[in-house]
Amino acid sequence: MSLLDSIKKGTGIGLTHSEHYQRAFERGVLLGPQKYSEAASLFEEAARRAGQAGDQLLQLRASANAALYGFICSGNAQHLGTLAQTLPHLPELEVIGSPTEMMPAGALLGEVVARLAEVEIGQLNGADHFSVAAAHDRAAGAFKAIFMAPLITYRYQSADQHVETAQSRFFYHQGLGAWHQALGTVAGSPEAAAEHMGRALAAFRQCNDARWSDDAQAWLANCRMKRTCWMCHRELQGATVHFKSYPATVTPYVSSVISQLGQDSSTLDARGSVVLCTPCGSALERQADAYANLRAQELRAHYDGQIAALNAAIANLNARIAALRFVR
Amino acid sequence: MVAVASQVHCPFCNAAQPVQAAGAYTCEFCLQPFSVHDAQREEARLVDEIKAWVEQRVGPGGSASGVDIASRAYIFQQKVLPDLRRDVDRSLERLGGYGQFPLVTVPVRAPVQQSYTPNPLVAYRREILSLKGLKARLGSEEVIAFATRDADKLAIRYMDRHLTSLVHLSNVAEAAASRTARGYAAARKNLEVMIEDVAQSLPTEGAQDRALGAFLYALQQRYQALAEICRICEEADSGNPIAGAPLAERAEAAAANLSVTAQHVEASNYAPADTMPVVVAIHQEAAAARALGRWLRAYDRIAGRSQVPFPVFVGDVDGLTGGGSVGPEAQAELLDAVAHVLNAARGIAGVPAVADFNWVGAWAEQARQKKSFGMFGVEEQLAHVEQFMSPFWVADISFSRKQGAVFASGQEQRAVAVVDACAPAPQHVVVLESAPLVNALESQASLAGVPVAMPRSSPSQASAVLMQALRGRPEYLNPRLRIRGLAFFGAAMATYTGGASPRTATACLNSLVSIDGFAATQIQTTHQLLQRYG
Repeated sequence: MSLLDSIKKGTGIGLTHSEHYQRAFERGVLLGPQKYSEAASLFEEAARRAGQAGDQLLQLRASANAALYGFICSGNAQHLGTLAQTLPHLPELEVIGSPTEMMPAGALLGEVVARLAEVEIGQLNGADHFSVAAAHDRAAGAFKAIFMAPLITYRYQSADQHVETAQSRFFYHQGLGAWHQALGTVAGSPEAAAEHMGRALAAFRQCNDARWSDDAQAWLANCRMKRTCWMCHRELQGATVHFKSYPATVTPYVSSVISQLGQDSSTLDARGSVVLCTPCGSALERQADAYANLRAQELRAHYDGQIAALNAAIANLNARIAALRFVR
Repeated sequence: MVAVASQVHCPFCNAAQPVQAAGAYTCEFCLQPFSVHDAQREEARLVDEIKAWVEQRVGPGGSASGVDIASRAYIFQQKVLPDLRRDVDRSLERLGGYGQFPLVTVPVRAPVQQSYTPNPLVAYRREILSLKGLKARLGSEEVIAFATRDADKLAIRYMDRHLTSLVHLSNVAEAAASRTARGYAAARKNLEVMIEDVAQSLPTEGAQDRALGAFLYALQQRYQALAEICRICEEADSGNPIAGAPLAERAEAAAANLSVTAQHVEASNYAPADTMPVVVAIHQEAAAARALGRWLRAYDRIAGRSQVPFPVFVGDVDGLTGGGSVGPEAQAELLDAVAHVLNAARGIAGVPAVADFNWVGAWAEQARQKKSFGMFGVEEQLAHVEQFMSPFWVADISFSRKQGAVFASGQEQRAVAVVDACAPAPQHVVVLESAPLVNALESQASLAGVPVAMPRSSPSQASAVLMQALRGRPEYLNPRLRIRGLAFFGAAMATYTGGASPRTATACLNSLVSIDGFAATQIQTTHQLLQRYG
């Protein structure tokens, strides 16, 4: 390369639009990930120059690369929108880190669409389980469309550990979708919630997520559990949601009576607890709270008078001490 | 003996037993030994238990014979069925989820998904076997006599099938986990009974509920494939030399059937809480069958000339290929590499090799410790030099490199990287930029008659190490790589005496490529394998 060429490449002065595009690789991409943000700026410049020169294809490629490198070094989701607009018009794009190896633009587009669905999940209220579940299902659907493809951008930007394949992210989102469906459904139907959690469990196992799958397993076991209420004798399903254990005195005699009557012995625990359904348990808790509040108010009224009298006596004593000082 | 003439049930798992001479039995399903006396005593206990249970609900006498049909139906609906359902539900919930655990353990290391909970079918074996009391209650005449309507009979049949299959599933998991021909035979027996049981349920329960029917049909397919895997394991574990390829083909066919079955279970639309964990288990069973197929093929390639039985081969080679310290997938890859190297050492196949040993004499002398000024240090003597061919993983790499100072720019380049296949480590990765050596890798040579070190790493492991090394070196920006395969370079290990203790030094191609001292010890592995398997 002549000195003049070197100066032109170094400063960017006097370059054609395609040389600007090449310069983004040489002065940015090929200098490693630390220079990817500079590469993004250089690609933006190349896109502007290509636009001025009327080279629409190169302008699109430069814009796509500017957005791609901008996203992988910043994680800014706005770049994903640009990619979603430009990639459908391109047959292929350079592989990250190389000016010569190409990848089909469709593969990256599929990943961008899935990422946009993931961005949407982050904007939802986590307590709205059905909306979150629907968003996870949409993300799962987007990853299903690129099921066998290796992931391109997740090595650079990811919030979790499922970064190797679209298959793994598909199952992860499918699991989270079913998880939120279960949480949303359990109040109305523990049976249906258990079905959803069964799906979640299978999905988490498919993506080798031991933590989520064990949590799902534990939740499912609780959700499928049935107990007879000690007070109303109704059998209900769903531990921690529709029934709970409450501390109680359980003597061996009580256990033996239950056993002799052929009644549900799992309703009590010899270590000192009985099962109450949520209506019975919450009725007890609220009535206990009401009694406790009432008693607290009575005590407050009683002691408020005494404390007022005490304060008056102290004030009186203070006044008398002050008067004694004055006399002396 | 009266009990021998009537049906004898195992006092442990309650399975019906064929008549055996001398009254001494070993249950074909759970492999527990027992006598006719044990069986009679247990049967009498169960009968008393059932009588007491029925009396508690119906009153003294407890028989349905004196009760009219309408009253029997009422008693069944109000007192018998709710209590039966409750007892079945409670006994099952204690076990937690077991559907996602694979049933059959193959006699080789296979991929299993991580879980912090053990398989309840094995962990709660005692509790599962104690379900026989409840199961006997469901099957007793005293209880069935109250189920007058078809729907009631079906409800009992459904619960009975559930408990029966649970005991059989536990038997399968426990027996197959023993990894013996006897264990696999017992597991297969249980599976065959379950296949029969599902076949009976298909036209009754399956006809009433299409989704359940589809699920049951898929379960039948699963049990058939698992029974076939047990049969393969029985043959492989027979203690005699085997032909691995036909068994491998059967294992692969079973794996393919299981994969299809998993799809059928998923598509059945039956209760996902029950079916989806089963899908997970079936996928693992398919992976295990594929792993078994891979080991059986490796058996042919590595030990096929010898008369070594398959279990002995697995025991020998498991340790040589990492044992429990590497993942089953990596181990299977390594098995292929071992077979490949052995065939090269046998002269059957050619491999890329650079058999240059001209440098060894000068290197051995240079590496010898000498006294300084004839006074200080140690004057070692070269006791022995062993020349051998050492395996290396070769990868084509591409990367970019920074050029220029004032106007720095990057340029894309390509090269070949190698790493010691006996002990791959990022510090041993060498990027070959010398054209003669890279060109030499294109040539194929036989390793027959030459000492060869056996690799101890898989291509996936090597790929990860190479990438880690390249990413850690600032001169290789944006690295990408593709593993080409194994190549062999001339290496030498020199032993020196004269110091406090003998010392060894190892080098490869005059230290052009980096090698771990461990490589020399791997010559013995190849030697042992060749001696053992021919």
